[in-house]
Amino acid sequence: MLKVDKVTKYYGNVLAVDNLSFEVEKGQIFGLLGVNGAGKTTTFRMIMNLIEPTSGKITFNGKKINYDVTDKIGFLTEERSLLTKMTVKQQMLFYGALKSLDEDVILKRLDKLLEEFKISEYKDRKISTLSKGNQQKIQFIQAIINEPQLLILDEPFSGLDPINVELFKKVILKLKDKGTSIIFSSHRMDHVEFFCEKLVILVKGKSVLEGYLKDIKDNYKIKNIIIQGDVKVSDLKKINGVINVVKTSNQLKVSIKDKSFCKDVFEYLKTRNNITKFALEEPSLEEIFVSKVGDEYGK
Amino acid sequence: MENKFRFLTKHSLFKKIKNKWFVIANIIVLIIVIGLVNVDSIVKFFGGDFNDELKINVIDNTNYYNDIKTGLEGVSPYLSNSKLTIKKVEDLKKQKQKLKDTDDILLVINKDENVFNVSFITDSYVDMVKYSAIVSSLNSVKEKIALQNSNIDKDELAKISKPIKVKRSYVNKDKNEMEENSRSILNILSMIIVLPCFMLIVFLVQMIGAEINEEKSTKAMEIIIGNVSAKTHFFSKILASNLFVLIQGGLLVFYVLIGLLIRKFISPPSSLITQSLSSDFDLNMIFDTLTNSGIINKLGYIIPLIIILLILSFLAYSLLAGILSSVTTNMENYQQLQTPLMVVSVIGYYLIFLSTAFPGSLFIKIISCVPLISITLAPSLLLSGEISVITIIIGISLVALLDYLLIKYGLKIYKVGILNYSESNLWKKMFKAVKEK
Repeated sequence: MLKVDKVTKYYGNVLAVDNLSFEVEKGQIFGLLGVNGAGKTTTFRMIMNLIEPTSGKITFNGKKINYDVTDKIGFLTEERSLLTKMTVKQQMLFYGALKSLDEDVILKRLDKLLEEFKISEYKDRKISTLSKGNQQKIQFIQAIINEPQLLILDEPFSGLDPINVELFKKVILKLKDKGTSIIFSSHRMDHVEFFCEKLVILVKGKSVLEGYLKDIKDNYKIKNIIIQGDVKVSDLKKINGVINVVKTSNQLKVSIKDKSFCKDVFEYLKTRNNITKFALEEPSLEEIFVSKVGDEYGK
Repeated sequence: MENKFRFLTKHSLFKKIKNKWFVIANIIVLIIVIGLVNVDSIVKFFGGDFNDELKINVIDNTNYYNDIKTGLEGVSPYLSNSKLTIKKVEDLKKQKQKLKDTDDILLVINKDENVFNVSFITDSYVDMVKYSAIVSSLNSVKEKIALQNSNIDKDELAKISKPIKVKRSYVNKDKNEMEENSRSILNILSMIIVLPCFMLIVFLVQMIGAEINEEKSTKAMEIIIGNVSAKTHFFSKILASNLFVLIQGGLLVFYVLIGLLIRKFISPPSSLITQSLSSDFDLNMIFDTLTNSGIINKLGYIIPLIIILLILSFLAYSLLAGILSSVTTNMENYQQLQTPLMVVSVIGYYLIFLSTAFPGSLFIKIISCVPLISITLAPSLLLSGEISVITIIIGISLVALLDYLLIKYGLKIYKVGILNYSESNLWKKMFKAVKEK
């Protein structure tokens, strides 16, 4: 289990991470979210032992992070961290050895992973000659070649087409099932919602929202009503408790202050004809994120 | 699983050595070194004017021909030609016509109040060495004839003609003439040795810079430093680059030995041309001179001192290059930052030449102790006797001190620098890193 305990990091006078605490259980996917410059990369760097926290403590399975511990951690950086002049095989032998793996183990795992990612033919190709998507696959393989107990994924789907996104999703879920703890960071909230049971949202280095996704959604009062039918947007906006109405191609999304105002909207719809859809929905993580982060930036 | 430090060192070293460009570059260097060691044979192979016979035709209107001929025969060692022919001829007009499109020389000797004068006639220009040698020998002949004509006693004349005896002696009993001559040879040799040293410094500085910048600019550094400490990474680069330089230096010595071996087979002593051309750089002769002078015995302690200085200086250059490359964010910036380092390494080389113009210069002696400059300057000055063993020991101590300081404070800069991708407040960050305990 990863435990980040009251961690603060200053760069000179600049506060990058402010009293951050969270835990990632075995086999759990944890979302670390925030806008650019929120302190995510600094947090990853502290977990990877690249930099020391100014105060606070980070432990993995009760041990302070050191180079023996990082052997059990996989890290996929947001930007490409590949030595592009090397071949795929050379790269894996290099990174694998840094994870204290023997050559035959690395090669055996590499063959298996290349097959899983459907790029076996690129084993002896120079990384610089591979497409962006295939380079991302290599980067992912590099992060999991040591069969990590903790995996940090910073924007793992960058540069991937939808088919490969699905492939990655399967692999990530497989790792989770095997008991790997995963910290997941992405600006794509749909991906975060798909994977993460638990998350923390950072604003200016400070946690503004944290907990289980289900609880976060439950506790978030604003709800959405999806309507399909002959209704006027101007009428909907006049209803008590309606915050916003967004018209999409064939339906309307009405945001209400809380569940209790659903009745008022329903009463209005009863006066209209041809209503084919009326559904109360939980807000999306993206809406919660925009709302929370926006509020904090506003302060 | 092998130790990560050993793995990183091996990886850096083999990456450089198992590279096809390293092999290609070394094949080219091998060819060049063999060529340089055997340059005289190559010059001979391609031929040239030096194979021609130099003819000096003399029209003598003085009856001094025999003396003049003997004098001119003495010119031979100063000329690069294989054969010198001196012939007495008649008929100026006909001889002038014969000169057309040749390198032959026609001398017309006429009597005058100063014993004789000479008309020096050629078809085209003649090189100054040849001209001066001939004129000088004619002057000697003239002096000799003038003395003979002055009715001086034969014995007295012999005394005048005999060269002066010079007996060289030294107050310091350790000094001898052979060693004195050998030092000038060693001085020239050390200048030749300094060039590969400079080349190795360039290799060293560029190897470290390129590797660290590649890892940093591709962000691979994040993964590497996540698995090994910055200290391990830094010292693996330093060790690998120094090992590379030592291997490359050893290969250069090996190439010279191959060149000498080839020289032994392709330069037979019977070849007049080879002997003539190689007279200034006869390696066997140099070695014999050095052995006879006893300086070889002294090299027994001079060479280890020079080797220590070289190793410590290479270490200093590599440490500096590692630190500088860690604070830069790309190869272009690093290349700009390494320029002062390259300039410093050249200073010593220029000062070697200045030291011959200003022998005993206190300034040059002091500079020979300065770290980074001493690697190119001190060995040459030590071999030529300009500086003492004490001076070079001071130089070694100062480089060792610099190495210590670079390790102590440079490592702090390196730790911060390799994970820093921003150039804003760069120096502030670095000074802060140095101050941290």
